Amino acid sequence: MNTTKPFTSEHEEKIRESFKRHSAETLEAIFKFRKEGDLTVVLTAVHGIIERFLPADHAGPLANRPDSLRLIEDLGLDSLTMLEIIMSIEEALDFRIDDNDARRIMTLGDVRRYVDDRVNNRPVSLAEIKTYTRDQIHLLLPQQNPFLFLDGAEIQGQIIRARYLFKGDEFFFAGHFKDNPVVPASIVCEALGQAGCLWLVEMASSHLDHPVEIKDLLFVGMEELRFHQRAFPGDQISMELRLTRLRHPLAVFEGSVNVAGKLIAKLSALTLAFGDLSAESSTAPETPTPSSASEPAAPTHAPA
Amino acid sequence: MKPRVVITGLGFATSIGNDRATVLRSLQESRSGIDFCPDLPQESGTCGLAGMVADFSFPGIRCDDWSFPASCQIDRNHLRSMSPHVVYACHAMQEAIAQARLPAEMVSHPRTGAMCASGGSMSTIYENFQVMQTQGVHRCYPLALPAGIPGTLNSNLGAKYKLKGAVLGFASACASSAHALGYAYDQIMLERQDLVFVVGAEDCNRFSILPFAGVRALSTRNQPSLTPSPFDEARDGFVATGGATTLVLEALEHAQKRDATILAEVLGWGEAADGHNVMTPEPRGEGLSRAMHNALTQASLQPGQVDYLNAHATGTGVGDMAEMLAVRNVFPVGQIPHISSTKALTGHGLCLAGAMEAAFCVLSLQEGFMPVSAKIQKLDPAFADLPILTSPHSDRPQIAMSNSSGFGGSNVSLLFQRWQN
Repeated sequence: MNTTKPFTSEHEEKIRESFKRHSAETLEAIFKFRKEGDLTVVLTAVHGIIERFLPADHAGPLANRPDSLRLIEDLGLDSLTMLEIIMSIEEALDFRIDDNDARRIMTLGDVRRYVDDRVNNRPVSLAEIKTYTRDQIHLLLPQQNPFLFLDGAEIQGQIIRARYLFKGDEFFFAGHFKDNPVVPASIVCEALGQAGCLWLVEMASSHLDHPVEIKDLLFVGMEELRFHQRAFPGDQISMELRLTRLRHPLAVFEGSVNVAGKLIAKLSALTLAFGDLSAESSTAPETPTPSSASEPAAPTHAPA
Repeated sequence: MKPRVVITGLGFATSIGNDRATVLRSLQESRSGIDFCPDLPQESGTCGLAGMVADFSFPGIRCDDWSFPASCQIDRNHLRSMSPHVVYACHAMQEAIAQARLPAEMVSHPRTGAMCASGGSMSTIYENFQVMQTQGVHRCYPLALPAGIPGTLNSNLGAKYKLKGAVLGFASACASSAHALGYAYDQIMLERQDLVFVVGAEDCNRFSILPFAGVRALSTRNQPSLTPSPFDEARDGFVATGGATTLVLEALEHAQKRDATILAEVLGWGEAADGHNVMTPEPRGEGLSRAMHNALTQASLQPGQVDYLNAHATGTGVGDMAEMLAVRNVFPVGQIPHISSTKALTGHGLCLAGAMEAAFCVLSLQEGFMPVSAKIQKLDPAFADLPILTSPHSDRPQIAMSNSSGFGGSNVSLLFQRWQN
């Protein structure tokens, strides 16, 4: 795409002026891409552009930082700085970034994938964002009132963000604790589990090689769960789960819970089991015996 | 009991000084801030001078290229939506807040407001439109709008200082920041606010200055020691300046409760429009007469009680003439106050002028002196009957008046009184 447009000395001058506060390495990478169409330097240019806008407490090279790093939450960029970065990338790499695409760029990995797709003329592979209201969640999940702790949710690829406002009239506040209502940690765990269930109901099939009918959703375990602060009636918890492993019948998420931007809990693994678990309960889920394979396709094949 | 309004803080980023002490010395010693302006064409027949503000530099549109005193305390997140005059204003705000000893929670308080005035940033608007026209709308800098529009001053100060009260902007051309002060006074008198910042500010570059050459309003003498020269027979127009001034207006009771140092009292103000022409003043100064009269009435003062008048007088032929006719109309013979125009030293600050000259009046009352009207080689004979301060006078003024007039014949007159403890 780039080689078709001539890169004049006028362009060079303009780029030199616009990127004079970026590192020499960044400028060199931009020129190499624009002049020679060298795709191997694109990431260097993009990292360099973002590095120049990083707040002091997050400064440093990005090349070795993980894809999962979130631009706003982890790198401290605000939405206006994001806009400056987008415009700088547009100018450096000479393509327009659609507003709809820009809105879906959340992580360093998204930036890397997006830019890679664009310079290679591939369709953009950013995940769409799907939003869910409480009413929709009610129809999708087996959990119901008074035990549904999701007011709304948003699924983007392997991430689900969900929220719940503790209104104060929930049944458990009467006893937790006497004259001192505090959100039970177990309820926060339940809400996280429900968010995981919603992700599975909506997304598991499209993330597996074979579609799986979800009849059952079971809680399996949590690891390295730590609470940092308490939540109280009137607080809205914001949960985020990110899928780290998916292999039928198990899904593993890492996650965090915030209230008004403050971290209240974090966990390294929430494991849920999903699928038609009653059919598989007679045998070990990993090694089904021929007798339990009720699907018509399997017996027609020669046994291994 | 009716509230009283006092001034408890001043801050300056002006052509005659960026702190109170320097400004005071410039006024007392008639030190001019007029100099050749590198951003203006230096050729005969056009104005190459401006009142230059030291220690600030704005080479180009990008905020990363600017330099300014560290005392402004602006981080990039705020700086990127500012234009040059807002940076001047941050400096003036910091100084005023420090002098008034306002804690952060009093600055950011529902009862604290800001009445601001600037002409927006012509250069910011121009540069960004240039990008839009030549490179397309998507290359337009996202913060071009809040950086350029009239209102950029109040928008940015509101965000930077987390202001929570009445925050707004005034656009009555060269009367703007005088209007801002008048309405700040009203906000406190109406008990809607306890404390109001009055901020006037202007850019200082070709885009803020040269359009006035189109009107033939600028002096073309290009001799910093001679021009601008209000009241001089050879006056040939004004020289522009930029910068900023902040005044802290406060309800007396509020100031006394927190044991603030009071610098002067605002006695009242008046406004009136000429109803005449978009640009030139009504030749007899009819609107300005009424503005002064209204100010005296509100302050319950007799004309003879005014000791010093800081005139609007920019150094144009018709402007100075109309204002002096207005003065004769308001003040009976023998009761005319001492008159000077500090614009001979500073240049004309446009939207900044009213606030800057109000602050000069405060310094004059506080320190007991009256600034001389500088650069008068030969007083215009038309003003021979008027007590224009061509040389220092020993009187210590008790009451000072400051006039401002803007395009469209918008006139404001402000009255201040020396504070006695």
